[in-house]
Amino acid sequence: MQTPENYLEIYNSNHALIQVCSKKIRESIKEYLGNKYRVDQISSRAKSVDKFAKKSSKKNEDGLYKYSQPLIEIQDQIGVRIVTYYLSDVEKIAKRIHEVYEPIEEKDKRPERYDAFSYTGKHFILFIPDEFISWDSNRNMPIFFELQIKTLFQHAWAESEHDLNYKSQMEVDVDDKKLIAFSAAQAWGADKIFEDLRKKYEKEES
Amino acid sequence: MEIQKVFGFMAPVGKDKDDIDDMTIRGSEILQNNRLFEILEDLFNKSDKECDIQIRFIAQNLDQDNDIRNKIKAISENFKIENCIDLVKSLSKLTDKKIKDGLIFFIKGCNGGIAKTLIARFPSEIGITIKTDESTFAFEVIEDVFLKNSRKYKAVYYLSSDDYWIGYAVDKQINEGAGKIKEISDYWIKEFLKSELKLNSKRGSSLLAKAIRKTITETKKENVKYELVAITPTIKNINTRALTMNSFFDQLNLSEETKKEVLSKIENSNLFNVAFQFDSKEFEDNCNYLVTILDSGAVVMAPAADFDDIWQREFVAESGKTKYSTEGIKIRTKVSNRI
Repeated sequence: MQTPENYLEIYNSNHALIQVCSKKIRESIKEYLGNKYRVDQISSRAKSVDKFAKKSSKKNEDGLYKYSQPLIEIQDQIGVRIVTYYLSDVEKIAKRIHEVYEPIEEKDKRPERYDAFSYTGKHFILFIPDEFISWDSNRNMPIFFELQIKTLFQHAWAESEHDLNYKSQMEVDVDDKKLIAFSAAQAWGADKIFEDLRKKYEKEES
Repeated sequence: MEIQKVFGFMAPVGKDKDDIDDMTIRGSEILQNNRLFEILEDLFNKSDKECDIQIRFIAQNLDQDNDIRNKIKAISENFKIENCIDLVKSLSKLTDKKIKDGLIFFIKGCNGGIAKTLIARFPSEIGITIKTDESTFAFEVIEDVFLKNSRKYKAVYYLSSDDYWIGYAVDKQINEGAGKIKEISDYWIKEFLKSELKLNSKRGSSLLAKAIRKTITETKKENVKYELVAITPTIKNINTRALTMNSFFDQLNLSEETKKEVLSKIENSNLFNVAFQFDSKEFEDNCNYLVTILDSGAVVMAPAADFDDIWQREFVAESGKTKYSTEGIKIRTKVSNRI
């Protein structure tokens, strides 16, 4: 039976390889999208050893570890994000991702309630392409990576909100939560406005 | 890898039979002192080499779910005879009279903390016996015979280190004959295992095209360059059957030198024998040339995907024209009567 310390040691020893793999995936996505899609930026990261340690040692309410096999079950050891301009670009890029990668999960993350505003974005869990990892020589390398596709407004909101929560020394109070939700609503509205304007002006140009 | 346990079942023809769910599936453990155990042990040990077609489970509803994977994972994590029956029934439901009854074996082994679960299916054969005594000599046909030396089987194994998402498969019933492109039947992979080839058609075709494009651009061997340039227009005629990067060159009768040069541009040599469905459109998209004809009479040409890296464009305000420039070492000049 492996302990979280064992898993952490393995992850730490593989971290440099995972970083290389994450860069290769980013480059390959750039190539597959080429210049046919409106992309603002594509970024990637290997989960830091500290964050892996934190996530892999999470426990459920019953006191048992949430991840019995964290090297397999933590599927965002490699994370890639594509930031695009318009809402319709998200769908076009997602279609291309389906063509060239093999997803096991696709989720449109958004608040369930119609009157709530919060995090929004398209998330995929995809097989890491064979060309970037030789599992024969290292069975402890991850099998999947996470890909997020967001508009610029979704990305900006998520980054600011994450930064605020991460750096916050105290619980964000209700009024401030409302302000955060309000800014999410503004990002949502901005996306809608620019999508409509794009449709109008692209049509007129053509 | 040491075998821990083996179970064997009869998987009858069950397609279009309403009572398959109620049918009693019979099976038993194959013990170590049994001759059959030795045969299966041999198959298990050889599977690392023989099961060389990588497949992946398709996530139904894109929610990390595949009922067959769930069953295989459950069997592997709790290897008991009763836990295998559901999967045997799943196979029976897909098995028609043409495919015939089969024997299905589940073999579990473990090495260094990694569990390996192999599933193999042997179809029944038709046997002929001779009845003879002092006055008669007659042939008799017997159905549902399983031959000890039969090499016609389908197999797949899964590893706990892949979390049972990736399978390593073989279909000995259709892979016979040297040099044949490896294929695996829809019955075994798509219908029963609800899986696809691990390398999807667009990425496989694109990787190959990019390696060829890179070779055309970089090689200093003129024969290699000519051979590749000559075959690119014919690629669209390749049918869409499964091929591997290795078999692609054999199919087009390209030289070993060219094959070696192109494959050297692909980073992971494990990919050379990975099967994928060829997609000629994706190949062309990644291996075509962009040609720009200028009113000056110049023809500006480069691989489409690299055009902007190779040619620098500059708008000349005074004339309203575009200036194209590039740098390189001249390899050759040729006279051509067409673009």
